[in-house]
Amino acid sequence: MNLTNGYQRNAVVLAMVGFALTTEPALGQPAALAQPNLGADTFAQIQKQIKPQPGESRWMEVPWFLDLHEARQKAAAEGKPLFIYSSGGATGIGAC
Amino acid sequence: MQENFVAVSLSVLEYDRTDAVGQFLRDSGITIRKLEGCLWCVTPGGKILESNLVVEKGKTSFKREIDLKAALDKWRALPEAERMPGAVKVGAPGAIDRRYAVLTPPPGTLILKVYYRAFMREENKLRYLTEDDLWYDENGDKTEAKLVNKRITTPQAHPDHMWLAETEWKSLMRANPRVGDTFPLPAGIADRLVRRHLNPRYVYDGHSDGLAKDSVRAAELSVTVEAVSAEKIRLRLNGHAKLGKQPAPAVLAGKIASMNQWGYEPTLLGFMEYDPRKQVFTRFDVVALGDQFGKVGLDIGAARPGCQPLGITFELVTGNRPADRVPPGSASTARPYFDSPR
Repeated sequence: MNLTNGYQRNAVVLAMVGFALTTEPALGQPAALAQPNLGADTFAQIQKQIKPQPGESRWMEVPWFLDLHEARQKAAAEGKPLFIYSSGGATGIGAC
Repeated sequence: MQENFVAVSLSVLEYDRTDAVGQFLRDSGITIRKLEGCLWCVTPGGKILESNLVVEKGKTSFKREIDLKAALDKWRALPEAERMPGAVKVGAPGAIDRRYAVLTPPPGTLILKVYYRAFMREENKLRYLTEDDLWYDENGDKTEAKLVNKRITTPQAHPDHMWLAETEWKSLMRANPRVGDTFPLPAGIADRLVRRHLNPRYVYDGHSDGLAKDSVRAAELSVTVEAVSAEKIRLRLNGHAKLGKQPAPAVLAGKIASMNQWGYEPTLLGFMEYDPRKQVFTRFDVVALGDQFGKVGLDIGAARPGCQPLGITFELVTGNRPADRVPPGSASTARPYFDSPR
């Protein structure tokens, strides 16, 4: 596995931790498809269609910490183990 | 996951931190490796419960799965002194090794959540991609299903962040604004917006250093004051950009997918609202939408036939959630962000 792109890393880590990966057909079409003409009247609809759809990328719903020490403090206080994910030279949960 | 674990995402560079974070990783025996998905379940005290690391014939690698149930079983079998809330004391972090710590937004930074999404145009509407839309070569082989685990990641919204330094976002508010005032988007913001955040390669083939200046054939961005009151000043952003190459005639006609060239010509529209009493932006919505040609998938190099829409949104977030503080492009330690791309 040679994942050099955050996009694929995220998808794979999602699968690793047992989330249902949303590809198609789960990425269904919204009820109203936007016209590809950006204007004040289509702005909100296009913006909504670009953003993640409900259930599309469940890994984004995880309240990830970026600071291991802070995560350790929270885990210790709440009595939970840590789940650590690392990939590549950058933080794993964003773009490359 | 959320119920049973505290999830943390690390840069591989953090292993070399000389502070408490690096010490914890090394003392715990955690291995993290560049370009591999490394997963570890570990107690707050540093005891490893489970990982996806495997050793076969003397070689180590990271398998695809981690057994979270086994990790939880091991966790629950631990003595209470290692797992009860408050039983393990984690002190102050001490001095932070900034050389390898993940970049954090400087004080006053305005954070915009960014999403990219490639669409297909169908009957003059935007629809989401399917695997059949993605070509592996310019003539129509459709093989993005060969991607890792046959999962088609390209259709998904791809996240990122844009940061505006305090001096930058304050430069958007002119003294005594009047309805109808129009001015160019300040150059520093415009340059970074266009060359870093409108760069389709930034997302889809890991090109995260920003576009070279000669990749910008045109860019024009202006701000107009739309409304002024004691409570709110509303601004509108208008603009367009022409990036990369112009499509070849066969690409323009939708007959082939461009595998070796790329181009993107978005229109931009944005609505910003500023609270003059609190001196903060309360809304910062920008959308870029335009035709793109060239690869949109990594490794296997998938592309859509012809020129197809690529949309990008920018939206204000508070930064209160750690995940909203992921650096732009997931920049790790030393990558300069506020410097102009080369």
